[in-house]
Amino acid sequence: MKKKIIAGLLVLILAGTFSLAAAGAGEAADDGTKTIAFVQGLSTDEFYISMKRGVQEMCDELGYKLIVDGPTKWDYTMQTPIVETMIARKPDLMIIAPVHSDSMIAPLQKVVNAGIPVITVDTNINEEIYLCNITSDNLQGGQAAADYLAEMLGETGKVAIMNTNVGVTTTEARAKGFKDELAAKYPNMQIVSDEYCEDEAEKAASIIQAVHLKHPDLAGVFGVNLYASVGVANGLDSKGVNIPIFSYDASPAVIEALAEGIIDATVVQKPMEIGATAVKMASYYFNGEEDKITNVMVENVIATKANMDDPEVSKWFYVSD
Amino acid sequence: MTGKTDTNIKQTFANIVTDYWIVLVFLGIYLVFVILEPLCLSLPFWGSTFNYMAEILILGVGVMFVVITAGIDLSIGPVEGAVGVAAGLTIRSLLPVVGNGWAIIAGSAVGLLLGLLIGFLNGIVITKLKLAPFIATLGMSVILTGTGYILNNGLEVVGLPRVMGKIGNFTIMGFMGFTTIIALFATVVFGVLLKQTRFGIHTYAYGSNAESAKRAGIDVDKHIIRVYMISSGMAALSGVLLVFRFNTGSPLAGANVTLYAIAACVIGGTSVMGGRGRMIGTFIGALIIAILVTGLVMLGVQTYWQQVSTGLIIIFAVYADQIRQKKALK
Repeated sequence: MKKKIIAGLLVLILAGTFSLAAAGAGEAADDGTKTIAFVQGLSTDEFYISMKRGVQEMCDELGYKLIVDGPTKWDYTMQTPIVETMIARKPDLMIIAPVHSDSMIAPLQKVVNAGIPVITVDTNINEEIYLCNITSDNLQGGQAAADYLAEMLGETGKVAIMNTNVGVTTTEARAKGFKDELAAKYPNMQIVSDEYCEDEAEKAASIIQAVHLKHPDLAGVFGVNLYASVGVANGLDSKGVNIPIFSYDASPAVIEALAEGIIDATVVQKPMEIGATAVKMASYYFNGEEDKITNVMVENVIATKANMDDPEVSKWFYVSD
Repeated sequence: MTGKTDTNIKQTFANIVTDYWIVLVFLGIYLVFVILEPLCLSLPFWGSTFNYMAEILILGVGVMFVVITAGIDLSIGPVEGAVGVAAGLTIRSLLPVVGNGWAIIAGSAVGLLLGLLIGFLNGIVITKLKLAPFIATLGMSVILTGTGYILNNGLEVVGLPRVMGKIGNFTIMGFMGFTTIIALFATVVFGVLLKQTRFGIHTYAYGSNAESAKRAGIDVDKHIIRVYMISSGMAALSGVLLVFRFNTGSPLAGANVTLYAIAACVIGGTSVMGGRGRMIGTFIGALIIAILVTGLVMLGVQTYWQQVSTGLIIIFAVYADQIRQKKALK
C-alpha cells in the first residue's frame, strides 16, 4: 500500500515536471511574438512589483510576451538559478535587476552567450556585457535627501543616518550619497551617528534613543528604508522628540507613515518608468534601431506631507500587486 | 569557632560569585560604559536598553524551556514574523465588520493561537516522527518564513487601527515601555513555573536524563509538546506585541532575533546539553545583549561590533561555565 502511494506520488511529480518543461518549451513563441524575461531583484518588494507593472504595461502596448520571476531574498545564490532557468525558457531578451555587481557577472555572461541580450535595471554589474542600464541611482537619491534635509534645517545642525545591513549595495549607496553630499556642500551640518538596525524597527528605535541621549540637539534623521525610518520615528516619538525624519521609497507603508506625520519626507524612485523604459530599449533592439539604445538615469522626486496629494507626485507611489 | 564562621562566609561568598558571576560580568560591562560615557547612568538610557531587551527576553524566556530539555527551537523568529502578518491581516479584515476593539482582540487571539499550534506541530514532529529538534524546527522556520511572505505577498500589513500604536507605545515612569512591562511580567511568571511547579521539575528532569524521566513515569511526549508550545507561544506573543508597537505586521520581523534569544539563555548559564538553567540568568543574558547595542551606540561605535562582542561573550560565558562545572564535580 505504502509503496503504491509512493509510486503514485513519484508519477505525479514526474508528470508535473514534464508539463512544466513542456510549458517552458512553449514560451519561446514560434509566431514571431517576442518574449521578454524580467528578473526582479526581490520579488516581494513593492519597488520591484511596481517595476513589473511598468514592464508589463509597456509589453502589452508593444505586443510582447512577458515572463517574470525573482528571488524572495536579496541574494545572488537565489537569483542565479532563476537566471539559469530563464535561459532554458529561451526568451528573446532579458531585463534584470542584478542583486550583486560582481557575483552576477558570470550568470549573465551565460545569458549573453546563449544569444539573449541583457538590459540591467536599478542595479548593475561591473562588466559591460549588457545593452544598457536604466536606473534611478540610489546615490543620487541619498544626495537629494541630504539637500532637502539641509533646506529643512537651515543648512545647520546634527543629523544621524539609520542604515539597515552592512554590504547591501542599494542602501549603502543611499547612505553614501547622503554623507558625501553633506560633507561637500554643508560645512555646518554634522553626521553624529551612522548605525545599522538589521531591518529591525525595534532595534532602530532603541539605537536612535541612545543617539538622542548622547546628542540632545539632534536635528534630523535619514532612515535608508521603511524599517529604519519607522523605527527611528517610533523611538523618538516615545521620547516626545519631534524632528524631521527622512525615509526612502514610496511603498504603501511609507506613504501611510508620511500621511500620518510619522515621517516627514521620502525619496520616491520611479520603478514603473524604469520598467517601461527598459522595454522601450528592448523594442529598439528588436527593430534594429540600435543607435537609439542608451543608458538612462531616471530622476527621483521627494514626497512630503504637503505635496503627497499632488497627482504629479502621487502617481509615482509604488503599487503592491 | 571564628575560623569556622570565616570559612562559612568565604564559602557562601564563593557560592554567590559562582552562582551569579554573570551578573558581575554585566556590571563590569556597564561600568566600562559608564566610565566612558556617564550618560549611561541616566534613566532614558535604561529605557532604550530595556525596550530593545524586551523582544529578546520574551523569546528567550520561552525558548529556555526547550533548551533545558536539551532541545532547540530555531523557528521562534519566523513565528514572530508569520504571526505578525496573520494577526495584522485578521485585524484588517475584521475591522469593518466588528469595529476596532473586537478586531484587535480577535487578531491578537488568532496570532497567539497560531503560535501555540506551530509549537504543537513542532512537538508532534519531534516526539512522534522522532526528528531531532534542530531539524524539525529548522524545517518549520523555513516553512514559516515562506508562509509569512505568502500570506500578504511578502508585504507589510498596513492600515491597522491607530489605537494599537497608542497601546503598544504606552510607557510608565517615562521610560518603561508596554513591551518591556510584559517581558518582565512574563519573566517572573515563567520563572515561577520553572522553579516552583512540577512542570518545571519535569522539564529539568527530562533535560538531565530523558530515560530516567520516562521511567519515573513522566508522560514525556506530552511534556515535550507543551515545552515547544511555550517556546512558540512566547514568540507569537512577541510577534503580536510588535504589531501593536509599530502598527504594522511585517514578514521581516524576527529575521535576526532567533539566535540572540538562544544566546541570551546560553550567556545566562542555560546548558545546551539540557538539565540546567535559571530564569534570572536568561534575563541578565538578554540585558547584556541589549546593553551592548545601546552602550556602543552611546560611545559612537557602529553596532556590528555588538555582534562581535556578543559572540565573544557567548564563548567566554560557556567556557567559564564549563570550568565552574568541573570544579563543582571535584
